[in-house]
Amino acid sequence: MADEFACSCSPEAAKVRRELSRELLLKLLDVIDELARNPFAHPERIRTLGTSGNMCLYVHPEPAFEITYEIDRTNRRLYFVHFAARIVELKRVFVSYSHEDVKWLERLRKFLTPLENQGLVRIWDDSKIQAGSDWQAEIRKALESAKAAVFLVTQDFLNSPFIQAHEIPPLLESARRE
Amino acid sequence: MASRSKDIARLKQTVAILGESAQSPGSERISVPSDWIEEFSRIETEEIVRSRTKAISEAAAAPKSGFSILSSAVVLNVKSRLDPDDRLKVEDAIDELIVQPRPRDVEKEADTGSLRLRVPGTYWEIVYAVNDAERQLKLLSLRQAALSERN
Repeated sequence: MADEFACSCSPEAAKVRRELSRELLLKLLDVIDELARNPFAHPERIRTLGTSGNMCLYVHPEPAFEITYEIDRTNRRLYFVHFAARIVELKRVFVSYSHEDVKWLERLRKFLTPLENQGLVRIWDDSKIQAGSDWQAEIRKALESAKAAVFLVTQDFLNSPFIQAHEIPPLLESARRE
Repeated sequence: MASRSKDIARLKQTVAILGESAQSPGSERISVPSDWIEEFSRIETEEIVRSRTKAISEAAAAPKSGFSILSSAVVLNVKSRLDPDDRLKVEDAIDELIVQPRPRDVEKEADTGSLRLRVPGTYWEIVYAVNDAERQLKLLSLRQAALSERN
């Protein structure tokens, strides 16, 4: 008994919970019980909010919902503060390619655009970066939110130090975690 | 701010209706421009962040007065295997215990002193203990009611 965390809910979180669809609620309850067993079981889905290190945000991939909770490590308690379910679920596909292969990117786009228009996926490649923006931060953000990745593997791709150092490792790491 | 919240609520409702009609049998596929979806997502994210920030501030300001629930590993395991209808009824019963830890129809187990509550509409019963000092309910087991007690 001593290993589990005690759980409680803020009135606001309890109210939101009652408004969730049955399927979403069942999944949410499973996750809450999982967190009660071990709040650190899915580090890739959890980040801390604020500076105290006690407020955490759990982001569930599918169905998409978020749980915000305060953790009291000493007394082994979790206090659920906020639940949010997403209606619009964007599945971003990150396309990693060498700029030498832009013609292949254009060909790939022709196949993926119908999926984009059906709202099934959102394709991201670095041509989406606007002039003057922090391009490294933009790439990092896109990598973090990607649900899938397409690598256009050519000799130029393999020779690109940026791709090897900054694009492939985080994508492989995400794939390994999922 | 109020009108913006209304716009967001309307937007969410519209997206939900679109999603439902797309899934209904015989419906034609609905095509939504991807830029719209990106924009919906952006607005929804903003709204979630705003409500989360508000919830965190409110939680920090308000005392945590309700009972917390400490479930044993056994209870967590049984819950994870329950039929969905029973699961929701069990969770409802637990929610009611948080408000009223000693409801009228609760029974005390003679040997252990633990409390036993039959979950309405199911064959399940929750065995638990109340720690008033820590304002905590310890769920000790979740088990099928004895055959003799099922009617």
